[in-house]
Formats: sequence, C-alpha cells, structure tokens
Amino acid sequence: MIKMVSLNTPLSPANLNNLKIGEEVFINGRVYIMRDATLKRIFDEKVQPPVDLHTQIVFFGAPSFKRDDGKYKIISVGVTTGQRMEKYLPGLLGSLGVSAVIAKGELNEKASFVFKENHSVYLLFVGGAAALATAAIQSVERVWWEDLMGEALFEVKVKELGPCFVAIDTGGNDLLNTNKRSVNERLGVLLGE
Amino acid sequence: MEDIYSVITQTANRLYYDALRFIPEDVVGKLKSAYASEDNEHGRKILGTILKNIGTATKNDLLVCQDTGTPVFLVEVGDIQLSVYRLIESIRKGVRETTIKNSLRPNMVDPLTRKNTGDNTGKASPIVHIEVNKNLEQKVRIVAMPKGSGSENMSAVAMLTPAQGVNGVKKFVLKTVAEAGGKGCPPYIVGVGIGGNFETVTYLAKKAALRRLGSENSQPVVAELERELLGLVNQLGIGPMGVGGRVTAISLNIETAETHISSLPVAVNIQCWRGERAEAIIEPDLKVRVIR
Repeated sequence: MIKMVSLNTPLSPANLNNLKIGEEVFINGRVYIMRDATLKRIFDEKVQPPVDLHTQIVFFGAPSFKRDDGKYKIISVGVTTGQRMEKYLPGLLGSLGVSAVIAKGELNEKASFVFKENHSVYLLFVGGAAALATAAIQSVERVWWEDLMGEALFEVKVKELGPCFVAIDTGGNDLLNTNKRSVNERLGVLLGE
Repeated sequence: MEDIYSVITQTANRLYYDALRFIPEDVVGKLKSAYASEDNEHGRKILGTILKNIGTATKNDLLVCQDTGTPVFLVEVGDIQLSVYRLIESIRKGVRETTIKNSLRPNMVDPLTRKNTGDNTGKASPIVHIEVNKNLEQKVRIVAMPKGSGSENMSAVAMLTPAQGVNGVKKFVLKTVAEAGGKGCPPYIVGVGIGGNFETVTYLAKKAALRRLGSENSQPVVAELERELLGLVNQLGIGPMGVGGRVTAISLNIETAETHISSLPVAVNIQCWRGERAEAIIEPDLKVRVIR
C-alpha cells in the first residue's frame, strides 16, 4: 500500500524528514509557479525574486491565464520536465531555501545530492494532468513579471493539489533514477551488449 | 454565402481547441486497457490519475494538459480546386482566433531571442502538411495535432547505413525510448518513420504517431515489426511517468517510404499519453462532420 500524506505550506524540517520516496502527497496552502524564463531572470540575469521562497514549494509550469477586472484566472496549468531546470536547482534549494520542487521526469543522477544537501524533496506530479492541477487552484494570490507571459511568477492557493509522489527524499533516495538504472540494464540485454 | 476558406478557418479553430480538451476514444480505450494490465502499484495509480484527469477536464470544461502545443495540421484533399495560399492562411487565422478567444497559452517564440509571437502563429506555425487522397473525392479532411513539447523534445532521427538493417532500426527505437524515460510523459505512442530522406523520415514518424490506435500498417511485414517493437519497448520497464511497470507504450506505429540505395533513415517521434488529435471532414456542401 502506498502511504498517503497531506502537507500544509510552508514546510517544516519535520514535514520533510518524514517523507520517503514513493509516498503519495496532497498539498494545501501556497505554491509558486515558475519555469525556464523565470529562473533565467533570477539566476542568469541576477534579479532578486520579488517574494521570499524560503520553506515554500515551487511548481515548474507555465499557465494559460486571463485577467478580468484586475483579477487573474488560470485557464490551465500543469507540470513541465524538471531536467531543463536542473542548473538552477542549487540556487533554488540553496540560497533561496525552497523546500520542495514539483515537476515531472527523472533528473540527472547527481541532482539527488543537491536535494540531500539542502534538505529538500522532489515531488513528481503526473505529466499532462493539468485538469487536476487547475481544479486544485483556489485562487491566484499574486503575479510578478507578467512580461514573461506564461512564464511569469505566480503565487497560487491550492487545496488538495495531487497526487504528487515523492521522487527524491531528504536522504537523497531517488525513485525515478533507481528505475532508470534497471531500464538501462534491460536495454543492454535487449541490444545484446 | 460561406466559402470553403471561412469553413476551413472555423474548422481549424474548433479542432485545435477540441484536441486540447478531448482525448480520442481509441487513445482512452488503450489507456483503460493499460490501467487494467499494469501491475506496478505506482504505475497503476498514475494511470488511474490520467483517466481521472481526462474525466475532470470534460466535467469542469478544462484543458486536459496545459501544453497547447505546436499547431500541426494535416490536410488531405480529394479532387478539388483549392488555393494552397488561402488554405494555409485560413488555418493560420483559425489558430490565431482560437488562441485569443480561449486564452490558450502562446508557445511560439523566436528560437534565439525567445520573443513570443503571442498568438501561436509564426514563420512556420501553424505547420500545415497537405496531401492528396483521391478517395476523398470532393471532400477535405483536416486533422489538428497541437503537439506537446515534452514528448517532442524526446524525439530523434538517425541516418543509419543499409548494413545496419532492420536490427539497427530496432536498436535505435529502443535507445530513443529508453533515453526519453519518464521525461516525455509515458505511456507513449511511438511513431516510427523508416526510409525516405532526412526530412521525409521525420514526417513519416509524425504521421505514424497520428495514426488511429488499433490500426496497423497495410504491409504485413511492417505490421509484424510494429507488434515486435511494441513488445520490446514494453520490456524496457519505464512504466507510466517513469516509475516502472509493464506499460511504457500503448502503441507503436510505423510508416515507411522508399529510400536511396545508400541510406536507411529512421525517425522516432515520441507522443505522450494524451495522443492529441482532432479530425473533421468538410463535405462538398461545406457541412463539417467531426470524427470522434
């Protein structure tokens, strides 16, 4: 049986320590949505993020949205591939103190050390399950850097955002790369190498 | 009085949006069988989540996936007079209209400056493939495929040598799928193109990915290769979203074309589980029949 956990943001060290790979997580509270262009602005262009992300959860994605009478409405949001954002992980988890990243797909093997070192976790959300992610958003609280369009920085309030699966825990255990190693072994056998 | 070009615009507009909201029935059928056969606990839970997500999209009138894709259209025309210029411009107009009206995420950016065009059109967007299909007589068939980038980014092409042969093709397909791993949103629909030249082989792979699931290649030897390769791909154990399991691909389709005596091009177009595709036929009286 897969253990089911409910998490409220911001996350405490105890919350994080208790999470083990494979566990199913549902999130309540605030989540920060960003991706390629947002991270490029923070880390490559060295623009200080407009909000404190310490102990918070970052969701890698770019919503479709509209604005009616100054109020934002997210039309659709879902996760994107985490590997593209890997070079920003040390900064995100280290200097900015982010506690958890939600994305999809395996990261490079060495990414698990970055999570371990910074006492943070990687949560896998089902790629393409945007209807579930969008339905979990209760409100858009704040939006910064709208010039980046879908890649602006969004602060949203979520209820029961999930299921997410713990893919890297604070011990550096890595669910997806453990499977990837078996896949590569089977590939070797199939190729006769 | 409506002319065919305004009907094409309305059809492109509608099909693009439909493909983002509704999953083709053949794809849903394959996902349901995958759910029934998956024995990895996480894999099964993920397939259950995928099916729930499809239901939530319909119930709450939401997009299935946030990736509004690269707008790709396949237009098949029968024996009919049509201006190619106006056909392409009509589809472009449809893409622009639906992007603005439905607040769809604009994805098309300049590759170097990354400046967004804001309406999903561009120098090569929408991508419109035009084919002649004489069986359509006076009709026009339009298929919209707003291709998601997560899986598109995992696609690959190889110029193999004739000496590498079928075995080389199998190895390349397996390596490409293994490399895609969980990153392109498996379970996959794997589109494989074999033959042609550098640019036709990728189009063959795209057409293979577009083909209705459950159909097979009309050449028995190719159909046999489809079954064999699907079996091999599923032995990799990538599983839904890369967590492991029996179901790595729900379909593997191959399209072939003659190639040069010294060539063996192979392309693998990875398609995520969404299998985004919406199709309609424009009848001679300009009535539009949507195919589900």
